Amino acid sequence: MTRQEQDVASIRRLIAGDSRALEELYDRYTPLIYPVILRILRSRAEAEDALQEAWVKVWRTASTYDGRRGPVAGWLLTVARTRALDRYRSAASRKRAEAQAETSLPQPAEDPSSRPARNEIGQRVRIALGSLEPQHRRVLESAYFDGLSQMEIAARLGAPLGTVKSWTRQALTRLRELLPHEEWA
Amino acid sequence: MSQHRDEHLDLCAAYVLGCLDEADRSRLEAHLGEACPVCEGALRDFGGSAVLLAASAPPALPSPAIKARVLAAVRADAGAEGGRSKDGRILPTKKRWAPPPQLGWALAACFLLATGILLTTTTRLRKDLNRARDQVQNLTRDLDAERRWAAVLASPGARTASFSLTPAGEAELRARATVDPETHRAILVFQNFKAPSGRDYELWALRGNTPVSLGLIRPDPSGRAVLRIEDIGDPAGLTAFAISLEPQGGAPTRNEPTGPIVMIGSLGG
Repeated sequence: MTRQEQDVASIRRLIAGDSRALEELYDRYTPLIYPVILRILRSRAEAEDALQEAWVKVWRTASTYDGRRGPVAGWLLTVARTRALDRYRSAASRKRAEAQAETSLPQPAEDPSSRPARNEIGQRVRIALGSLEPQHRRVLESAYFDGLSQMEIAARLGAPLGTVKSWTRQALTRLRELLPHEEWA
Repeated sequence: MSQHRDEHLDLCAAYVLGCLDEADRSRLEAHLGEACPVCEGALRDFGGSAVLLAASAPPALPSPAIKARVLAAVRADAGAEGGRSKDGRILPTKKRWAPPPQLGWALAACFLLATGILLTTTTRLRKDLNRARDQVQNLTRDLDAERRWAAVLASPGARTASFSLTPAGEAELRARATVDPETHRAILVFQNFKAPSGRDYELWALRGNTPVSLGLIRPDPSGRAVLRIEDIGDPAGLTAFAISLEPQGGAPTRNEPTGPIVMIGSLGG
């Protein structure tokens, strides 16, 4: 059974009201989701609140997952990023996050409880990102971690919207080419 | 069905990164709604790349307490539906119906309105009940009275008096008296007693030769009158009744008729 098949089975149990499935998904994907939220919010307190909201949202809306729109991991990340970006966009939250940013930024080397394999994946992905064309890397990071729309990215980079659309697709394709067999463990 | 075009793949890439503008998102959603296998494959591939992109964030873990908070929140969320089932499952909140906040106020207003209506109705019904109870009491009293008076007429010891006209009496006058010696009650019935203008007929009881006024006879427009006397006195001393035609309002004294005697009724045994 592939990871996606396992995840879909967990989603089905979640829909049936099995809280143990939520625990399993939490253990499996929090090491992937939480760093993304923390990078967006730059505050551990804010990130932990957003993480809690995200998992409760997953619990409530599990039945809306559509396997034709991508893997379960992608859907979980979308739910979590949406919660984090909503918090970041609220002025009060942003102010708090910026005030705490200096002291709250995650320490890249610090994750004693996570599997070494995950750290190695992260390292390989960072290396792959570094090898992308600068505009491709900036498109991916602006979209994914800063929550900008393609129009906003076009304005930030001073590039035509159509070009940004092409770069987005090319960047994702190139990332997969660089990591053809990589998968979140 | 909208034809798959290469630009849809651009939209799929932006979709998995969550950076589609609203118009493009609507366009792609409409296209995906028609089950495009090319785009669904692209979403899987790009989705996997987006997961890898997430893995590029510096590793970090939340406080261990967060997991407990999440599970507690989920259980609290499901709590109103009964919490865990026997096999440890929790009923998700999405199945639970949450009443709109206005409903509480509406229910309270309805309750107050219903209470007001109930109180008003209860008060009105209580008044109606009391009125009906009074009517029943009055009817019962009237019925008892009628039975008592009917008993006078049916009494085996009753004495009757058929009145006879005197020369001063009008020919059409008719009168009859029934006396119950046991209860001392008497009933007198008069017919065609239409007194001339400015005059009244007056009834007298004769004890020996002494008359005692029993009051004026007040007929209805047809000349009929019924006089019921609750206590006629000692029936043994009562020998007869007499009717006189008096000035309007009756004789000045209760013991002496001043007008002509028009009828006399002797009591039988």
